[in-house]
Amino acid sequence: MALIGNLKDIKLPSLIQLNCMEHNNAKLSIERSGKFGFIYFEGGQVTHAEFDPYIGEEALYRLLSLYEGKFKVESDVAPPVRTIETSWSNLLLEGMHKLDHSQDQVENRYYRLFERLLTIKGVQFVCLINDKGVIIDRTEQEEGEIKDPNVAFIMLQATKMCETLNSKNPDYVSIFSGQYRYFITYYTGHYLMLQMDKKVKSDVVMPLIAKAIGPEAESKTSIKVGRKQGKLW
Amino acid sequence: MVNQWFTEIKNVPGVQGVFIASGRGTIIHNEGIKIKENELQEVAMRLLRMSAIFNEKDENVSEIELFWKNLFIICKLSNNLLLVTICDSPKILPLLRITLNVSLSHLLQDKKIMKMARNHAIDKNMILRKGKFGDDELSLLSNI
Repeated sequence: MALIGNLKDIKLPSLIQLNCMEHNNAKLSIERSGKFGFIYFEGGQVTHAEFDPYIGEEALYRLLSLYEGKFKVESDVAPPVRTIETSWSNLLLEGMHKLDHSQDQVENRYYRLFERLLTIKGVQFVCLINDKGVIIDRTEQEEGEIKDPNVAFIMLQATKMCETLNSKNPDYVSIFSGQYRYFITYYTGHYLMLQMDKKVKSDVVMPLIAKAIGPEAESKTSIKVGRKQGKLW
Repeated sequence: MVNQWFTEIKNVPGVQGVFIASGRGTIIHNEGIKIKENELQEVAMRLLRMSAIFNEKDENVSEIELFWKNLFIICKLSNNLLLVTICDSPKILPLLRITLNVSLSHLLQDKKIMKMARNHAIDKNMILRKGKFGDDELSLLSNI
């Protein structure tokens, strides 16, 4: 029977480690954004990997950068070709090293943040948006789910509301639409929106989000419009 | 009778005040919030606009919450009514939510309240098309 899951729940290095230590002959298939990747295991080693357009070790390193995506492990599937000779432990070490470096690059800036947020129970989708409403980065959105509900406009209304009340901006805005709960906060001068399961309670999830965001959440002043100090009432 | 439900909410420890507004932002009743009515109306209108963004996508918002460190605004929306509560204690949120749900269901059955709500009803789609909007708001609305 195939093992099926999502990389949100089991990280790829753990899957590789498990299959190699168990000496499994298996094929691991990963699907993310319509792109497919494959890793083959044989006799306790990784013997072949593909991730369009890459093949061999480079494909494996690219796959290691995925923090989400559906996966399936099928037993007793032989690789079509052998393209990897390096031991699995060295592959993982090199892969992690490459990953650390790639996260310094702009396109991977929010990788760790999204990874942490997606581990919170009920979080389905995370999106970072600037005050003009432009999406800076986002996680994969599953079929049928709703896109950005104009977060920038919502937060602008919150800001204007606070101007009326002579108060500072709220730390979090939570909106329940019946289908989903949207949770919006600030992150490095942008808006961070989380789409969550409808059963999630704001007060329960708020400390978890704060922990996942870390001290970066404090960097929200740059997005303020006419921020005022003072009490609400 | 209506006052009973406002008192019920107001009696939840940490609640500073509660008000009810129509779908057009008109204040129908205010209990304990000491700010000018036009400012309260502005608050209601901002909440309605947040909700209207979802209406544009055929979604109905039933709850909007704003959280500060030691202050919360919880807004319940239903049948052209906004029930807005301000409280200062995070510990009472579960109790407050239950109280609000019960109170709102009773308020929705009150003829006087509902008559006022109906008189001030507005097509939800008009909320983002009528009224004063700043350039920043108009720019973001053009993205819809």
